[in-house]
Amino acid sequence: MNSRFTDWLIVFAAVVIQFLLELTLGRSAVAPAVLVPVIVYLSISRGDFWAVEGAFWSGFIIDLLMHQKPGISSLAIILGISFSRWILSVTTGAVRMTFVANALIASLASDLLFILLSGSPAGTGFGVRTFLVIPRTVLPLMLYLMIPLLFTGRSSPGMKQMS
Amino acid sequence: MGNRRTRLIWHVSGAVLLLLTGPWLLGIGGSILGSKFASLFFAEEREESHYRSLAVELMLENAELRELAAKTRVYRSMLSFTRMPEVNAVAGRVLFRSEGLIRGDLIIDRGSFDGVLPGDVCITDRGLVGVVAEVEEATATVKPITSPAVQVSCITAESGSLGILSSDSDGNLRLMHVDVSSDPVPGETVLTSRFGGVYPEGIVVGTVSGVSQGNSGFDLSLSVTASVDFDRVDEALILLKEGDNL
Repeated sequence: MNSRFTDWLIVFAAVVIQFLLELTLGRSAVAPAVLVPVIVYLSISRGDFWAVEGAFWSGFIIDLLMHQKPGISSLAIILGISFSRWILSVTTGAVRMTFVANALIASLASDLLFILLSGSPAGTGFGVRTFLVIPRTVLPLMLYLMIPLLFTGRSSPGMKQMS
Repeated sequence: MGNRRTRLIWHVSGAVLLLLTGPWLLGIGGSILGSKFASLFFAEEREESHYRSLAVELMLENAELRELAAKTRVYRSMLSFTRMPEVNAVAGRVLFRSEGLIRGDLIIDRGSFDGVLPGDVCITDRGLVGVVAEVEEATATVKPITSPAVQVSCITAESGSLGILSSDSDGNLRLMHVDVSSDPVPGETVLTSRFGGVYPEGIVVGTVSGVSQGNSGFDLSLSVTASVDFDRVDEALILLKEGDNL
């Protein structure tokens, strides 16, 4: 099967899962961030296409599904991933290509951007609940790191790179 | 693929543009798609409504046709009085009655444009009304047989008593100069006769209501009740003479 097609299927599955989670648990609350880590993973392993086009279209689909302002998630994910890359580009090379660090910063940045843009007027959406983006982004990555350890006794590649 | 920076700028711009114009675009697109989607469910109802209005239209048309059929029956009945296979006639509506000494003339909404000429005979489905006295372009004046100026050659249907029908000053019809040997009886139908040359033969005029001696004492005078109720004449048929411009 075409590699690009497989990647699109992965993104599509991530979009559906993210949509279902946000639909049931609520955005900016406790719904785990799944889509951004997947996009980050693909952009690191497959290429820049996923950090730009993939982020744009998956965000657009999420916006349509969630009845949000169209373009808001696209903008937040693209800028969030770009921001994480920029942040990591000025750090040491050891963590520059680390998936977990990338995904963590990108998820946090995109969520904060989303809250910033979704407020009406912009910027008024911040509050105590903003802190919920931390467990929302951290917990899925923790799960990602822990599951291989539980089943195989070895850490995941992300863990290895971090160490 | 192109330069990453260029693509990034393009997509960020696209996202910002979407953010600014998205609600309107979605609103317009949603309305169009929504109407298309709704038409899938409501098309049948619309079709039903179309058939309902068509049914109402047909009912109205049917009522109109029934009215026309009824009128046709009346006109046919009028024409049957003439006992003529071919007769030219125009149907007209009585516009009003003119003021007169006894009974006013009838003004019909048919005139010379319709081929009506003075001397044409006017009938209804009940019988003889009178004769056209004056004609304008769009109207005609009909003198009823109750007018003293009109005289009609008549015959009774059973006994065959011939006489001249005329009206007295009170508007009562009398069949004068009837032969005493003809033995007429009350209740007989009075018809136009073939004599006289003005009226076609066989048009119903009325019924004999009484028999009395004539003024001279050598003839009979029959009281006749007109078959037409002149106060209620609404539509009438004017029989056109041969050669009239129809």
